Amino acid sequence: MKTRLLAIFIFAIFIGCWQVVCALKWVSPILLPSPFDVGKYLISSMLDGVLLSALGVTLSRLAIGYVMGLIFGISIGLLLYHSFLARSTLGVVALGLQTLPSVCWAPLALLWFGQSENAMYFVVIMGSMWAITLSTKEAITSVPPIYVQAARVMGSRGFHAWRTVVFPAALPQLANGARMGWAFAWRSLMAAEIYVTIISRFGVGQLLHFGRELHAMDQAVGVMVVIVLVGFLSEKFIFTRCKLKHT
Amino acid sequence: MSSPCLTLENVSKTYMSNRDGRLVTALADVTFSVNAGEYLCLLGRSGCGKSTLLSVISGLTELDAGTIRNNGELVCGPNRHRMLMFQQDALFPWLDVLGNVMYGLQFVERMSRDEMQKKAEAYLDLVGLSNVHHFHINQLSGGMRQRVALARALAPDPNILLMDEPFSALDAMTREQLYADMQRIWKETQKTVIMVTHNAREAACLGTRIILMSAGRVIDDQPISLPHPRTMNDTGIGQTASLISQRLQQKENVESIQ
Repeated sequence: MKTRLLAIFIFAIFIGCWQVVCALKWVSPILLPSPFDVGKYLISSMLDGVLLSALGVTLSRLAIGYVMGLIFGISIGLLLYHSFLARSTLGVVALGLQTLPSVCWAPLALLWFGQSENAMYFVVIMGSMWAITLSTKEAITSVPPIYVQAARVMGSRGFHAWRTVVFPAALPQLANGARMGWAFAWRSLMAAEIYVTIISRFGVGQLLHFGRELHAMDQAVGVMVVIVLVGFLSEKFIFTRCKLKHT
Repeated sequence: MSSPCLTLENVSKTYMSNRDGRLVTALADVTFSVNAGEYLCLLGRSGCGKSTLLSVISGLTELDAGTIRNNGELVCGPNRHRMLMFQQDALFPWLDVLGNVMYGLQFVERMSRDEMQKKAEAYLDLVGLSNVHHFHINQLSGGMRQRVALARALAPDPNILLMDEPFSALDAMTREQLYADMQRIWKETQKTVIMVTHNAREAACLGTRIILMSAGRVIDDQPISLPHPRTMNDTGIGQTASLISQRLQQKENVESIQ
């Protein structure tokens, strides 16, 4: 409790200093909006529904793209585990593509899918699936063989051994991969929303982009705060909770 | 204690060494039989093939040549009638103690969940763990984990219990306690036990018969007629153990000259 209060106090001092710097015009408001202006933007865009609808659009894209990334990633991860040929071909590609920043997929996505939702999904899937692929393969490879042997001695075979031994033994690492995939998907989606403009459906990435275009820095910084908050809350309340439940 | 429960005939196994790709003979022409209710200890130095022998008896490792029969039935693949208890901790950390013991019972025919639970609890009582049913595996000490492993191996009622150096990772005091418990459990359940060990005193303390192994071969086969229960401090145990060690040394010298 004490450290929590101290943390709040430090944050308050930080925001106070920021407000003072802006109020005294030490920094141009075009470069750095004051926290008061950012707050004002957040409240007004909340009230007129722009921010909430953008957040809804973004989160639905994230959910669809991430689930598809998970499906592809886990499937390819299993394939890599099972096939030596896949490991020495697709495995190398996966390792390489995992290091590719997701924004690099945006030009290709635009070329293949145009300014469409599919282009967004493509960037999110490509940005997240390789990390999930590799961690799935690692998770299953690192299951101690003695667990499977013990299960076989007791009578478990085939899919039963997978369901009751391999999967639960790999679960902590699989969850870690899913968490990494989520972080990658979130970053990829922001890149996609900034690059791929769909006039009919604005996401928070587009709000950020327009904030920059219109020199509305209170909007740009306000949206950044929202993006950080979404990432923070999902990390804190979904994945940490899952991890605690498992251990 | 008379009918052979397990017979091995000319069992051989070679495998490719991971280090240099050479063929290594793990078992060469191993032949012996084990009577029901015996407590057989397989004794030898590291790498003499005793763990491989246990693995082929369990059915986890395939044979290159020879046959193994369990109550007349040819061994091909693992089977719950020959339950193997591993040297390392092979308990499932995602299940609690009771869940681990119940795992093997799901393959026993015609058993409801209630019956499974009752049976698992009974075996946990037998190994002296009646108050840790819902403990996490990580909360248990090394000795307690081996007790759970023993209960898990015994619960499906195998006719042979195979143990691969089950006490080697434990401290001396825990080991002594487990020797006493193991003898009591063996007497109560009347199981046939085949235990691998590299400790002559342990073999002398527990076994009714000791098979010495070297370079994949059986080099000696001796009964131990000391009465159970035995403790490590019994004078007979020390004498028997040193005799066994001497015999192992002599036989290995003769083999190396040949």
